[in-house]
Amino acid sequence: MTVSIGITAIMTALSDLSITGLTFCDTSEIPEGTDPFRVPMLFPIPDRFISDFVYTRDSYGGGSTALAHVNYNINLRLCYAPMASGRGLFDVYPSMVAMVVLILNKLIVSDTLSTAVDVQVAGVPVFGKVFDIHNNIPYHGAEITVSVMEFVN
Amino acid sequence: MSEGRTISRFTRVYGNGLDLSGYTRTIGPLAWTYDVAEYTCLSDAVKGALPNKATISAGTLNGVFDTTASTGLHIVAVTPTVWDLMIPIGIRAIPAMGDPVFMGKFLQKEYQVSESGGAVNATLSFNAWDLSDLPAYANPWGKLAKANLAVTAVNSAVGYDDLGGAGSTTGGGYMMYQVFAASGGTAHSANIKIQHAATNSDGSFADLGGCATGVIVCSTPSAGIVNTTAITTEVLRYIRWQIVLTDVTSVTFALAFCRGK
Repeated sequence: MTVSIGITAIMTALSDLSITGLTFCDTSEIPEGTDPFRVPMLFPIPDRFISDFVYTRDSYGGGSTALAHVNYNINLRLCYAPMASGRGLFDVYPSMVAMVVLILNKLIVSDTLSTAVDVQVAGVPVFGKVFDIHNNIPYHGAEITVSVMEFVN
Repeated sequence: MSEGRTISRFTRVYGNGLDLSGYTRTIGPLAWTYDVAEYTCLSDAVKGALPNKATISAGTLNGVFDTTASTGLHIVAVTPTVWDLMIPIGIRAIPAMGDPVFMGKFLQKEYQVSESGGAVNATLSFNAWDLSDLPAYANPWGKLAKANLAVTAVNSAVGYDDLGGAGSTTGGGYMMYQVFAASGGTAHSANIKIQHAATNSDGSFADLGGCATGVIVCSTPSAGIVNTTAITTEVLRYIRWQIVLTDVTSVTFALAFCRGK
């Protein structure tokens, strides 16, 4: 058996989920800057894309022998629109809320990732104001955490 | 069909022609237990025992209290009954042909409604295999011959390897069917069968003696266990489902087979 953790494949599958009007970025597509003309955009948060990684051994053995599973979180950020980009501060707020709901619905019902993992929405730790990739420009948006369980071996 | 480990969300629970999966949070333990009778003589150096009768039980179903007409868990469980339960366990995917199935006929002995964290839950527990319908085979574990899907034509596909090697067994077996729905025709009737073959090709399959529902009405949920003709019936290596659409266009059903050992 070989140890295999499929974070990259899982993120690719996530980014293949089609949500109208949203650019869902894979790890190879994280924007250098958040172009106001390309948003809404959902992308992996570079400095904490993976968090809460826990490895649990399920059988005797060691290294590549033992059956095991891992749990971890994938953290995503939605930049919906720059702050005050509408006619008022909260002009785009309702459509941003609708977009977050769309994303959550899609993640909840998707069975795309049903082969070797269990993927569930774990939470929305940040909602309302987020910052662009450089933590510089404020955006309407949210951060979404997805929890993953994978078998190893 | 895949091999290897799995997680609980790929388990399905079918009972009396109803798909209870959407109301079920957990079920089990799916028990297959042998008592032992002590059989030791004075001069024996080691104290020994002989296997006795098997106890087969589906344990407890923890579910969601729901009053949806005809199918809600409260509606179907509030009158204790005997359940023909089929519990296929999909291997990292929804259950498919060849996946393991726990099945049997169990008397519902308890129905409890409780609250947990604000949600209202329902709990059913089952007795050991129903005494009034003692099985000919003391084995609840078979394999899924057909997943829960609608069919509109006879089966010309290949089956699954139920033996894992060449040859056959002469210990008979039984099938469990769960008929969920049907459409088309007038009588909505069909005959659901198990077929077996020594070679896994369409033309090789033939009906397995005794393992057929006979012509039944499929528009109302139903379920049951059908044994092979005899406990000594020869069962060949490969197994598949078959249907004769007597007076119906589409039948949604699941079918499992347990080979007698």
